[in-house]
Amino acid sequence: MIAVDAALERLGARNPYAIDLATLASLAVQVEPELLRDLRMLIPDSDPGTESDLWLSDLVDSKGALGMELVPEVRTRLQQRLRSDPPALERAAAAIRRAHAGISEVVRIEEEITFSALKGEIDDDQLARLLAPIIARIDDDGHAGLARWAMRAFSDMPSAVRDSNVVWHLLRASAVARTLSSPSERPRGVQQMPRIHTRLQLREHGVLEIDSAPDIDVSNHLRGECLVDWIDLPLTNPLMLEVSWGRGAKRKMQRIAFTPGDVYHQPLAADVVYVRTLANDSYRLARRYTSGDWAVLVEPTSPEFTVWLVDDARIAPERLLVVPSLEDVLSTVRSSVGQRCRRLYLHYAPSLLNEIDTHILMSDLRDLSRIATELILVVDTNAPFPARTMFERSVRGFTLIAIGDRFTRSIVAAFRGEAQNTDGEVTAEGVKRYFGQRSDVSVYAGANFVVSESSMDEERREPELLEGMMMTLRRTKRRAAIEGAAFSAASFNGIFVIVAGTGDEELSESEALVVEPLAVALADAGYGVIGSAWPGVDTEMARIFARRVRELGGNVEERLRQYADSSFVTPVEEGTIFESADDTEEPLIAGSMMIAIGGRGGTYKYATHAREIGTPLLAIPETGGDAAELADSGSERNGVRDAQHAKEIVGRVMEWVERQRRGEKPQASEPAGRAPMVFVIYASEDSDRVMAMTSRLKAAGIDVWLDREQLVTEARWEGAIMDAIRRADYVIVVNSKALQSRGVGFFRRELNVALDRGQQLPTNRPFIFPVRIDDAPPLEELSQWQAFDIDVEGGEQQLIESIHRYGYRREFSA
Amino acid sequence: MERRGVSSQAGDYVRSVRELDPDPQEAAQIAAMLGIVRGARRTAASARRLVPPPRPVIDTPPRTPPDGESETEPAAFAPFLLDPISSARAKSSPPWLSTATPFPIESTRYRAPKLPLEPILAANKVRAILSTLVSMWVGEGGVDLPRMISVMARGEQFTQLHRLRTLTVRRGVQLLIDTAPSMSLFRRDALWLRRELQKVLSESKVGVRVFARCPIFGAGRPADDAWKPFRPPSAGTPILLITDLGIGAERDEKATPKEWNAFIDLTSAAGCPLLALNPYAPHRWPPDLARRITIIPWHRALSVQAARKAARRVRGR
Repeated sequence: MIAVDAALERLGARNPYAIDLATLASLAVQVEPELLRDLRMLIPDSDPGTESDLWLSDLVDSKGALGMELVPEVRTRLQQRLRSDPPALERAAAAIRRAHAGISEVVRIEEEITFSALKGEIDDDQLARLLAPIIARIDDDGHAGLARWAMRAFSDMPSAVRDSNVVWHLLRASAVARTLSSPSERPRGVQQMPRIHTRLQLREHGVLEIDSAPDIDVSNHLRGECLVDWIDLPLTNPLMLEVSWGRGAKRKMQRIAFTPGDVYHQPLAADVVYVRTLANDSYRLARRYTSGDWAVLVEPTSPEFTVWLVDDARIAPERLLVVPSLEDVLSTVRSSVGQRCRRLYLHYAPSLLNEIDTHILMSDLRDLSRIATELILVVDTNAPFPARTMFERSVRGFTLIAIGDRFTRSIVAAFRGEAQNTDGEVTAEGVKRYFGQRSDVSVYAGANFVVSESSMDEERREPELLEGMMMTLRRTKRRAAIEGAAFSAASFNGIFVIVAGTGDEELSESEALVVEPLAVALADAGYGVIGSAWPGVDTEMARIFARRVRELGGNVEERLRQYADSSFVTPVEEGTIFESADDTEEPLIAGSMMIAIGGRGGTYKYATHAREIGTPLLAIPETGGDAAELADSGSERNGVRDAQHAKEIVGRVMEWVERQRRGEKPQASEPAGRAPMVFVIYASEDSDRVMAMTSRLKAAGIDVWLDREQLVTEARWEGAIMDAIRRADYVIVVNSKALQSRGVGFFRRELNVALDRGQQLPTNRPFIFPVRIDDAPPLEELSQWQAFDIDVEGGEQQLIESIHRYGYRREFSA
Repeated sequence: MERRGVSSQAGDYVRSVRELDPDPQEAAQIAAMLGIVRGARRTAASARRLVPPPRPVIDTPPRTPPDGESETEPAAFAPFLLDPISSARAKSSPPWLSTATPFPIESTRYRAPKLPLEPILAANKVRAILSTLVSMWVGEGGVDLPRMISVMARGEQFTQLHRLRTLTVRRGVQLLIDTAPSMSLFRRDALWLRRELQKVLSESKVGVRVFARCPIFGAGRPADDAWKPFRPPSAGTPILLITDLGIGAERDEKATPKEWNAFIDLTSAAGCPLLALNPYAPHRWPPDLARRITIIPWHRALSVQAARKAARRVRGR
């Protein structure tokens, strides 16, 4: 929908009359140039260029000598606009009727139905009158042309038409007709059609999943607690289902067409839906949904643990569960509570809290928040408790109910100095302010949340604290529930990771091996992804990430951003698409960190830009190209060996991402202790001067590569020098009369290599520092670089400062 | 625990239920008293099953169909996730369908007759506009008597017969039609204009060349397989371009001002007046080109007077 808006906006900016013209044209099934002219004539003051503006715009799906067709989504949107302007609707209908008087009758019928629907005057009787002969014809001889027309025409019709029972019969007849082409094979009626075993599942957030893969393994899906069931659909082309939900005026209906083998996801936002097949069999499909509260008490019962599950008001024998370890608590609760519950209290026995691993607990909380609309951890302990850790790692939809002095004390200690007010109290406002700087943490501190060391022992404080937190929690939950935000691990943690890489359609094997697990890992960990909608890495990442987020029941529009140059066609229309110039800083600012994969030059520039504005960068050297250049590890340039290796790399990447999320520094490009390295080109006659200069550079923390120091062990000295220049952060050329007096010589080759290297690097920082040590004229080849005269006072210091200012050139090594 | 928050009753509740082993109703009351839940809503019979039931059989006796079913709260544990609620295998076609006559086969055939095209220029003015645009001055009018008398008065000998200036279409016109993709929509309009010009000037006086983007890249007759470098017509013959000057084209598909200027210089050197009909509004014309070419809005509102004004800019008063 974003793309439609953007396309309309682009055209409107160029020529507002073209939008009016497109609106009038949206009533027609096909728009010939002649009809376009007639419609344009209805718009006063418009010029013929308006026709061309629309014709050439991206609102048009296809165009040719016979006419053009609008993009279906655009047509639907413009029809809504046309509906709100009845005089324009009438004028357009009259012009279209006039122009299309002699064309195919089905097209005229389709346009007439659309016109009536937009006028709000369509009913089943009228549809039956217009469509019954067509349905009868398709039923009679399986007319392929009419069947094709029906499938196309009615998928984009206004909903008043699509939802009609008459259209359902038309689609049924067409789907059957399209299944078997030979009349002798064609069954008489849908009841005799072969069937396909189809799995239906209503997942979280009311997403209907339909899987009709012919080779689906039933046994896998019927094991344990899975929420699936099966029906047999008539094997038509396409397969079709009618799904409806709600009742009365709120009843909605959708017809779904899909092909065998597809796994189809359809968001319906309903907990109960009714399904009708083409054979007219109806089913009621419900999501396993527990509407009540659950309380979970975990107690140690040597040598095992007892999990008490209380469902609303009763305790059933199977709810008393014994698990062998704390790690099994989560799965036990999940399998017992089911897909979803309203509120879940998790109460670990006090003795357990002294020994429970915070990481396990946090992991449990994250997973449990998938099933509970409200998740409340009851902390009942006087033991030291990592309050800050709990807050900082909290997932959305989770709160702590603190009981016990030690815990209260730990809250004060945790936020001392950061969330205290002038009275030395830690207040809700202070905590919110502290967390307000972070987008990934929700704070459930109520208005009465006031904790101070002096007030810790006052009994009245704690109920206030608890009630306040509870109130806030409920409010937050309700709001989030309305917004459809998932209280689950699939929910967005608020952090965007920029992924940049090769912009060619053909990815190398190394790049391809890394992109998929990385996309899945980022989605699973709750991150958002920012890409630039280039082919290659961006596109693959967007496609896989969107698919994974959808599988997890997350919101793709929220978690995937694509910043596309307006001149591009975004290859994957997923997530939220922002129009932006290719060199814009906007995505770099929106992203909290960047991962570079491969790249053929553009990635290097983009990553360098990111580094300049302070976005932490992780290049994956194994993917080669720019990423190897950026990482400069030099160790693993042979690519990714296999899928297992790719997973290990992704594991390392995700560790880095997690470190960034926690704010561990230094996160940017400069590994501690890595000094910038300079290569020095000089004439041997100037050795003494050069040695004196380099010793001062070394004293200033600069790593100097000097041939006379390095070459003693190098047999292949020429190759070693060339390699050193390529690896150097900077090159110093000591310009002197002695150097220039050598018309030819090895220094020329060194200089040429350095100049070549300089050409390949971004121009935002110098690569070569010419240094003058006598009154030799400047070297012409180096005229673009700023020269330093170390004979003048402060000249050498300026050189040192410049090298330090630009610093280490290579990016942070993975 | 001496002090309690609301939710901390959960643990106590679990313990009390375990100790007392109450029936479900009593348990509900305890829970309500402890503030865990507001009241019990379900009975033990609603206990969910941990293992899903076997696949429903389609032939299960039908329940109320969806349209008529009264919607209830989603069951806490749906005993069947997918309940067959009706089977309509025996249902026959609805009456409106069973009585319908099949659509006539001949009506299913695709028909795309050529639609009439409303011309861009008003049909009642087009001849006047076109003849105005392509008319050029020639000294072929009546005898210029004042000038002849003046010669005689000076006692000079007549070396030539001085004639008055008159507008003529005798020189004909070279019509240059832009066939770039951005002009594809106007192809039929260009043909129409060509026919109208031929009606005004006669077929032999209208030389038609087609080009794409800018004539400097080459031009040819419509039937030519290959285009040749553009050559202007003989001196004094007007050139009428039908082009959008690249306004509708993508950035890298349009000719640069430099290329257009080269073309303009070529026609200017050949002494050929240059006019261009452009379908876009004047505010979108490239300003650099608008200064060097006389551009005429190719628009229904174009009047004879406006055409005359434009023509004067090219040929002089």
